[in-house]
Amino acid sequence: MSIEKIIKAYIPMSETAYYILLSLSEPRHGYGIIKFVEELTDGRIVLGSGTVYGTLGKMCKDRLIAIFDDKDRKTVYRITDDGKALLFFEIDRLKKVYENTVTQEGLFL
Amino acid sequence: MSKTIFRPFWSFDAVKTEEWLSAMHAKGYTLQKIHFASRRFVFEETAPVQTFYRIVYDKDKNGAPQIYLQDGVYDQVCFSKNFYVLRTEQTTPAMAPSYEGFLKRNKMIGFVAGFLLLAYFVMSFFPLAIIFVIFSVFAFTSLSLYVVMQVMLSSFIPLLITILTIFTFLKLRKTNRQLEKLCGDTLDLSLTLPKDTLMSKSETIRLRRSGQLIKKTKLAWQYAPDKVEIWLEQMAQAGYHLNHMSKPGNSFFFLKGEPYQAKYHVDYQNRTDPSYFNLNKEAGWKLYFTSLSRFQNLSVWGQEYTDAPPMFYSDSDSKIRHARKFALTYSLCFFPVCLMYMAIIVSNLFLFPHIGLARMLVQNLIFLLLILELGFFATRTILYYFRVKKTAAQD
Repeated sequence: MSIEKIIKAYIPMSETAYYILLSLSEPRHGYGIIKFVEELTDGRIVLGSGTVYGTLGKMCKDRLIAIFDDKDRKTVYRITDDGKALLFFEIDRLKKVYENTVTQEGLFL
Repeated sequence: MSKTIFRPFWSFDAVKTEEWLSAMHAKGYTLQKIHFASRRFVFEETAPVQTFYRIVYDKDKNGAPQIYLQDGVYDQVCFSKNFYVLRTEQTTPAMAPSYEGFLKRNKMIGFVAGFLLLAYFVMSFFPLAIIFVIFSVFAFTSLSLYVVMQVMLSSFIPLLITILTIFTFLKLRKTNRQLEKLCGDTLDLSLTLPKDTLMSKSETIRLRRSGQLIKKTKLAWQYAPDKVEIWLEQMAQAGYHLNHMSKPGNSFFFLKGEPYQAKYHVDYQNRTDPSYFNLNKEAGWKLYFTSLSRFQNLSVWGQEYTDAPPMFYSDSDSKIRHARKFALTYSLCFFPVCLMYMAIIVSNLFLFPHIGLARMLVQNLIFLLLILELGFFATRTILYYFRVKKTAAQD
C-alpha cells in the first residue's frame, strides 16, 4: 500500500492505533506496548490485549510495523519507515489541533 | 567454481534449510542465489565463514523491507516475489525476522493437503471398493498383460500425487510444530484444554461426590458468547469458580468457594498464531478452552479482578469489529447450507411420485429440522452482533 493510501485509511488515527505506534520508539513486545501506554498516560488508557493483537495484525499487513523474534523467541514489534511517516503525519496534525485548542480555549474563559 | 544443488522441498523445512546454508558457508560454499521456480541453490566457492541465515516468507514483497537491513546487521543475499534470504556474520543475532510469515504459509499448505487427503479418501473409498470387486472377478477369468499395464499406467500419476500430498501433510505437521515453538508457542494442550486446567480422574470423582465440583452442560452456547460470559461472571459472584471445561467444550466444571469478581471473554479469531495466546496470557487472561483448529478459532478466556474489570477489547470499535467478524463467519457458513437444504426439500416435493409419500415426508422433515437448527444458530450470532453494537454505543 502506498503511503498516500495508508494516510487516507488511518488519519485521523484512533487513540488505540496512535498510542501503539507512539510506543514503538524502541522495539517492544505486545505486552510491553500495553504497559508502556498505561504508564505514559498515567493509567488513562489500558489497552485490551485483544484490541492490541488485532491492531498489530492490521498494521503488520499494511507494513507499518515488522515482526522480529528476539533471543528468547518472543515476538518483538518494530516500526517501519512507512509507520514512521504515518506517525509524523499524525503528530503534525495533532500539533495543529493542539495550537488551535490553546488559542481558542482562552477565548472561552 | 560454482555449484548448484537441487533441493525440491526446502520450504517445507525452512529451519533445516537455513542450517544447511550455514553449514555450506562454513565449508566454503557461499550462497549466491536461489532459482526459486526450479528450486536450485547456486553456491560460489569462497573462504569458509561462520554465518547465520534467515529465509523470510513475505507475500508479494519483492525483497526485504528497509527495516531488516537498516542496522547493518543483515545483508540480503537474494529474493523472489515472496521470499528473501538474509545473512549475517553474527552467529546469534539479537533479533531476527520472525518465522510468522512462513508459519502462516506452511499452515495453509498443510491445511489444504489435509483437506485434499480427506476428500480423496472419502471420494475414492467407494469407487475403489467397486473397482476392487470387479478387478478380482476379472482376475479369475481373463486378464491380459495389456489391461494390467493400462491400469498401472493410469493409476501411476494419481498415485504419485497422493504420495506427494501425504508427504506434504506429514512433513508440514512436524515442521509447523517446530516453527510454532520458534515463534514462541508455549501452549501446552490436551486437545482443546490447557494442561494446567486438567484434573485427574480420581480427583474429579472425589470432588464431585463431595459436592464441591459441579458440572453444568450447555448446548450450542458458542452462538451467543456474551450470554455465556455473563452467566460465568454471575456464577463467580455466587462463589462458583470456573475450574475447567470438557474437551468438546459443552460442559463447564465449577469449584465451590468464596464469591469473587471475574471477567470472562469468548473470543473468535479467523486465524491465530502463538503471539495471540502469549499476549493474552501476559495480559493476565487464563485460557480455559480453545477449539482444535487454529483457523476459525474459538477460545474461552477468564481473569479475576478486584477494582475495575479488565477488558479484552478496550475500545468500542474493536468490540464491534470482533462481533461482526464472528457473526459474519457463522452466518456465511450456515445460511448457504440452509438454502441448499431448502432446494432439496423443493426438489423432493416434485420427486415424490417416484420416491413415495412416506419417504418424501420423512426426508423433508429431517431437512426442515436441520434448516431450523442452522438458521437458529446463525440468527443467534447475528443477534449477538446487534447486542454488542448496542452496548458498545452506550459506552
